[in-house]
Amino acid sequence: MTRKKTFAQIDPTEAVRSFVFPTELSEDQKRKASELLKIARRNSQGQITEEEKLSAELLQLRFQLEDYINNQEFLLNRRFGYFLKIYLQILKKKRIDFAREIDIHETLLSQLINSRRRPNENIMIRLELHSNKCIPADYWFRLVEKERIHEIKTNKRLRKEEKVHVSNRIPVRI
Amino acid sequence: MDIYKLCLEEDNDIKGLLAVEDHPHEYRIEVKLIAVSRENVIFNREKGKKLKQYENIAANLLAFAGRIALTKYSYLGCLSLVPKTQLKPHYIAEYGMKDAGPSVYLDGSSLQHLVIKYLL
Repeated sequence: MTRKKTFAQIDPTEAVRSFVFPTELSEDQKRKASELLKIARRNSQGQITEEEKLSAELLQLRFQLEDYINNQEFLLNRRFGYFLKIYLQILKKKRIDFAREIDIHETLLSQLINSRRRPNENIMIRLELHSNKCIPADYWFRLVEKERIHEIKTNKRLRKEEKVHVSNRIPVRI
Repeated sequence: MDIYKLCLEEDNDIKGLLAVEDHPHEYRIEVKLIAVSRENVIFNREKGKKLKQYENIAANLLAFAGRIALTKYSYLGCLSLVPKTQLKPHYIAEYGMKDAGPSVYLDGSSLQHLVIKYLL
């Protein structure tokens, strides 16, 4: 069915619930539309509150986490500590204050941020509670799992060490 | 231009399509096209005779475009589209979009509201 036919056979409310039709604007019309949009946005940007900024930044972190967790690729510079550091930066928190708020020692927080230690489940739950569920505990959990999966896939040293404990391997290779 | 499809996990059947264009200098994602699959649109002659398979497919696609804007540009992010003139008031009523001449748009809390409503 052509776009014109579709448009003629549907009521406007249903149309906006089902379509955004492509529009063909001339270069001049595009430039004017862009200018008007910029002016309108300038006005609404000025009205954004600190609270709205904070929630937008937390949503951004949540979506970045989601995208990274769902992506197959493991990146060394996108581990638990990296995302935790961003969380603290968004909240503009000092490490000592944040450590107190989730009841852990500041040293442990530094180790977590610098990826020298992994968090246990208690810490993940505390992070979920601290963020008012904006970042769910299972996101942190899956992030750590992703790192562990990468490790077990690539750990040559452990394979070498464990070789001596295995005998009579099956005779086929897939 | 980036194109996305909305499918069911089990059968890969396409329920909707979305085309967006990124305007990084304006922190803006522009929706160029949304189309919902035939069985999920009620045409005038089908009113009262047909039920949709799924509701809110277009709203979910629009919210997904909003998610892209928030993920890339945080609180500076904006989602816009240029509607057919006759449909402009309906986009404003249906999605809380704001009027900017030929375009309608969402930013700030209205953008967050759409994304949270349909995707979280």
